[in-house]
Amino acid sequence: MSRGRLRAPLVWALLAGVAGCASAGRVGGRTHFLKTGSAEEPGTYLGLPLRSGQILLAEAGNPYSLFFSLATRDYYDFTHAAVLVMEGGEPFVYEMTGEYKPGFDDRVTDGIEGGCRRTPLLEYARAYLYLEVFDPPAGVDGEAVARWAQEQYRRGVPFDPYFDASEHERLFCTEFVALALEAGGAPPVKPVPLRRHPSLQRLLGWLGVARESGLPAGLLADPARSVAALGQLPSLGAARGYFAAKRELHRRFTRDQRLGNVFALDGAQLSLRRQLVVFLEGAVNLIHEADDDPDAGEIDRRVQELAARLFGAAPEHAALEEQSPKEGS
Amino acid sequence: MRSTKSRRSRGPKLIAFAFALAGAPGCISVPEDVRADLAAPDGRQPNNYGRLVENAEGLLEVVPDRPTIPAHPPEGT
Repeated sequence: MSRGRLRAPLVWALLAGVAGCASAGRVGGRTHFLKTGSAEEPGTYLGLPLRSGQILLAEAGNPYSLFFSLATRDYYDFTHAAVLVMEGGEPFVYEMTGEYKPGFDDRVTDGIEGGCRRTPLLEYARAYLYLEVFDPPAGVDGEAVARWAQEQYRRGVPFDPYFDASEHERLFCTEFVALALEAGGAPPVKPVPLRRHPSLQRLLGWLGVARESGLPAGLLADPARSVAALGQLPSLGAARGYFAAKRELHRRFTRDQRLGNVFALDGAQLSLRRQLVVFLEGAVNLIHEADDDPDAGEIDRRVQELAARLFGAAPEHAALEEQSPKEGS
Repeated sequence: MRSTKSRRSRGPKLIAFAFALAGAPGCISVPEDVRADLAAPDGRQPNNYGRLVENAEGLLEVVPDRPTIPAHPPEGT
């Protein structure tokens, strides 16, 4: 049975201007409810089992989200995080976001302003390819998580465009969620190392963004606590194909690669090279259209095969070089 | 090795990926070393992400361009 092919304008036109922690554009089309309530987790809102204090992890699917996916030494799904709060029976998303304001700044990050934003869930979902809702870890007080998020919104905590998790005067998205969970009784989330990749480190250095470690959104994900999924992608298969493609792009970003192999610079704007768009679209279609419900390993194999067909597979010498402890920047 | 074809007419739609952080150039000056890192693949340096070339029919085609990694990770990784 064919599920219908996703065309580029349908899928990828959703992506322009949407960024992880940067302010998301309102570019959505139809929102698909991909995973809803069950007997164990009955729906509380349009069939979704939503409660205050749950964690939302989202994927924008733009160059910005791909860039930060490449930055961590290990690969993680998702590039944005937020807290869900039920207010009067309606779900609202609390998140840290920033927006670039053109000015007389030397670098992009100096011109980013933002703070804690509160958005109705369905409006929020229209700006993302895919988002997944997770219960907080066992023993964490969801109501306390929600209260902490609401408090940051009320006091107008500013956005941190430099992604510095060592101070909390300004917050970025995953730092905000990690601290909200702590307020509910969870242990601190430990940052993970970033790649000591020369090309990537040069850009991070210019942007003034943390270069040693980071808090990727996927660090907060636990499949066992996943309760709902929705977004612009039309199936869970499409989402799995997309994440498998990102994982493969991460795997291929070995130490000998330049950012220019992945991104193009047009003036002061960064865009994804078209060959990667072809690959991402192909991977999404490949798994979305699969009739045999492949498991995670098989999805990875098929997506790697697609990458090899498009990008080539060749001498085996650099694949694991990236993670060598001896490497420098 | 064959590759997926992309019609030239789809190009403008496919490159609508503005980097949200750089919505307008303003007074930002990108340093030369960063600019060099972001230069297009030139067919001489390692590139695991292919290149777009125009084939005989005038279609844009993704082709391998000096890849340096295997199709599958080594066993046990």
